[in-house]
Amino acid sequence: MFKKLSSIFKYIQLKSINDSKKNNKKSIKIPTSLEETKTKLKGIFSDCGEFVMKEVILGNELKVKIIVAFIDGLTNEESVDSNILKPIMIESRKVFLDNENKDLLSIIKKHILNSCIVDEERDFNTSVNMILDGNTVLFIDGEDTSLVIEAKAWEARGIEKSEVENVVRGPREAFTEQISVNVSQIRRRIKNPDLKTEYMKIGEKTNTDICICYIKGVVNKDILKTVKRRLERIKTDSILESGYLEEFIEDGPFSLFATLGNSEKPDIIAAKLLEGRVAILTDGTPVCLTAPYLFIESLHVSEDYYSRYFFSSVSRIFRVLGLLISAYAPAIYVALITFHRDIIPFELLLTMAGAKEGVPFSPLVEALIMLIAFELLKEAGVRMPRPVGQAVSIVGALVLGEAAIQAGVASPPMVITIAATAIASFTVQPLQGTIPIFRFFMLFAANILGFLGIMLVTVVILIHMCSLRSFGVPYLYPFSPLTGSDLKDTILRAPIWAMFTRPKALSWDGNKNTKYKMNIDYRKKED
Amino acid sequence: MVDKKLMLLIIILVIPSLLLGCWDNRDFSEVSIVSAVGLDLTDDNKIIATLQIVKPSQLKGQQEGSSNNERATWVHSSKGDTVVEALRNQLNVVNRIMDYSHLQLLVIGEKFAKESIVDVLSSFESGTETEKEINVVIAKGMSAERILRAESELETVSVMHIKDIIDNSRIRATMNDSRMMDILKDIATPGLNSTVSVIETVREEPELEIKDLRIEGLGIFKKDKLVGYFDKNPTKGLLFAINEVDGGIIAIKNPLNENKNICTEILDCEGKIKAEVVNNEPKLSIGVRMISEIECQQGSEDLTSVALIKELEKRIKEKVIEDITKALNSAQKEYKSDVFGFGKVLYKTNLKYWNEVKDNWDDIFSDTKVNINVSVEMKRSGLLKRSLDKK
Repeated sequence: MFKKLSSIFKYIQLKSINDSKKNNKKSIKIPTSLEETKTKLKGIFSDCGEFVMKEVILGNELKVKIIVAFIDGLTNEESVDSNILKPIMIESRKVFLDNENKDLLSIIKKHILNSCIVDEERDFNTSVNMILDGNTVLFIDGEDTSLVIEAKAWEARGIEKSEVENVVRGPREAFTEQISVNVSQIRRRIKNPDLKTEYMKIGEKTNTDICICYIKGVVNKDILKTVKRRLERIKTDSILESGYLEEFIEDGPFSLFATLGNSEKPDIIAAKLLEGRVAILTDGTPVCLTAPYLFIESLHVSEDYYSRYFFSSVSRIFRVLGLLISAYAPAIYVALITFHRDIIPFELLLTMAGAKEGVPFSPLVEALIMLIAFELLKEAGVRMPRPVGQAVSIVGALVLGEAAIQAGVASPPMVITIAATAIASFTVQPLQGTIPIFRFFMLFAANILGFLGIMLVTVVILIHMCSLRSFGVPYLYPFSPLTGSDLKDTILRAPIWAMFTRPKALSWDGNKNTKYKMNIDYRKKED
Repeated sequence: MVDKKLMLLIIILVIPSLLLGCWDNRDFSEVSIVSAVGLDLTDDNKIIATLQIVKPSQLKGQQEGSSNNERATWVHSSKGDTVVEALRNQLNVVNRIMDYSHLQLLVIGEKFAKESIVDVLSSFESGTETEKEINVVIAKGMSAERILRAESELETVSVMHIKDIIDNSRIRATMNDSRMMDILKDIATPGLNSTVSVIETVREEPELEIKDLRIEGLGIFKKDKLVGYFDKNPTKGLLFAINEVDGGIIAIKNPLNENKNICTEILDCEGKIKAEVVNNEPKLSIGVRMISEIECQQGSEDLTSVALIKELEKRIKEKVIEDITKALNSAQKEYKSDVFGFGKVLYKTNLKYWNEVKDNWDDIFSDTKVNINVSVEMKRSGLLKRSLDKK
């Protein structure tokens, strides 16, 4: 299966390289004859009920036919009425127009239309896309250029509190599904012209808007280039969520670790931009991607920076502890009672042996039963409708905790271990998907080789993590390669006033600071 | 290239697995936790191994508070020609494989100790399973099996009771917490004979309880054979001398009222064995420095004058010297065994001389006079200046 996957991966890689070489979209000119345009549009938008095409006549003496095309539901009809139709049909009579007027377009743009955003478009396909985007497009008889007027408006969710990333202190608002609102939220936080937003469309069918945000002068140009190149290379039908993008552009497609961060909170994204990261916003989802993403970021939350540094350092230490417990606790427990009984204090051993008595399963099976039950409960908890929540928690607490012990399916120490694991795993939200898998690996290794097995799995994971890079930045940075000055914001957080340098791995300049230049030239590797 | 790296990785990962001490996991329910082992020698030179095995089911019962008076341990004996064989023969009767990793106590029967203690200890030393720091005691005048069968009122696993008593030995100064590794080291050290703590019964009853047992005194060895015992006072003397005391109580007569006693507590005690060679004659001495305080006093006299404190110090000193003398006499005259380790000091400081005398050191030791220097410092009179007046 893995082989199959990797062959597909290689095929796509090669194909996209080949495609990008001959990537020249043919442009179709807008026909000068309005009738032709009309039939073309009708052909394209046949069976599209929402498509509105209205033919109006401009001017008093010189009668110019104009087609106003938009999609109902994506457009603010009031605005179309008052800002487009009214000027063209009524106000235009005040403007003197005659045959000698060569530059009809600029007159319409400058004198007649009272919308603020009006663009000219010469390509027919682009014009069609603009209509699909929610713009109103004017096709003018005798002109090979269309006018794109922005009057977008559709029903959307307002800015709400994030339900996933909760904070006690700090801004509550989260991104919405609208990319323009999301970008505006970032811009409200970074009021600087250096905040650049580059838009592109990805998805041959969905034509999803993607926005690459970065701060010029802070962002590492090489990282930015890589992000852009990878995005441009995407050939796919649809981008419905940023997760689609993530899979296309991440560094380790076969790795269990995410090499792209995500967040749905504008303050987090703003902070990451200010560190020199690149944010990729996707229309239609509140989840925004950030690159590069380092392992240590999964242990950080925005609140670390909002509360005082003592407390945030302590809570980070607890998060590291939570990470270790959630990955290792069941494995260590199994290794202890099956291999290394000699290091358990005698009295504790007696209690554990007493508790284990009457449980017919081996510790591994016991642990697996409890872990699988926990994973099922977790999954059920996320997916179920809210009113059912209570039922699940009752079943979880009573049946799995109490009854499992009384029925002799699991021993109390095992239940305690799994409970500790479960609680600890929630402290490191970004690794929610990764840790359970390692937990199972560790568990089996512990059952076969004891602590040695746990060590082996750990070593393999560490080797993998050391080799992983996110957009050229080593994944374990600043631990590996060890960079003393950047340890200021890792497991402990230095006071904000003491953190006056940007992360070197992100902001090095090839010319100025060669010391921190990465050895591997990822650009060469990719091209 | 990739394959080479991969191979290297696999090799690195596989090699450590060969370093494993024990292979295969064992669940709790497959092993029986042995809390103590007792070893006896029968008259026909067979070895009886007695195991005290913990019954986990019983522990669980007590956890839940149900009051059944069944014992939490099971004691069983088996016979064999060697220690290991005797232990292995247990498996003829016990369904679960023994787990010796939590062995708390090794009880050696008197007869066995008189034969050779090394035979016993080496079979445990070479095994990988047991801890090397287990406590060893000698069952004085009875079989080890009886001790393992003794019950405790306080602990569910009776051997824990004995073990805890032994752990407190340094503040009792009436026994040495002899651990397996220490004994083996002592036996292997030239010029030092080992001592092993002793457990004995006070009452002759078939069903013993821990309270019927006395864990006090030392067994005196010559090489690896038990030759005799020190009781309470010589033990104290010996421990003072070899610096094995952290605390303990010395009772002396009240200088103001000879009918009453004063109890003093040892706060700190430092003992040193000295051995020199002067004119080809060994010159042995024991130095003890002690700091103590008045723990309690009978009678309400004020003892805190300089003269009285001096008097108290003198009396403690006499008492300590008395204990050390007892130990010395016993070791020199009775057993002819250098348990103090004078020979070890000579071996370390004057190897040439030691090589001359090592063969008959025990005789030379027995005939040499040992100087005893004790200095006692009375630090304070507890928290009270004097006891309360009866009015």
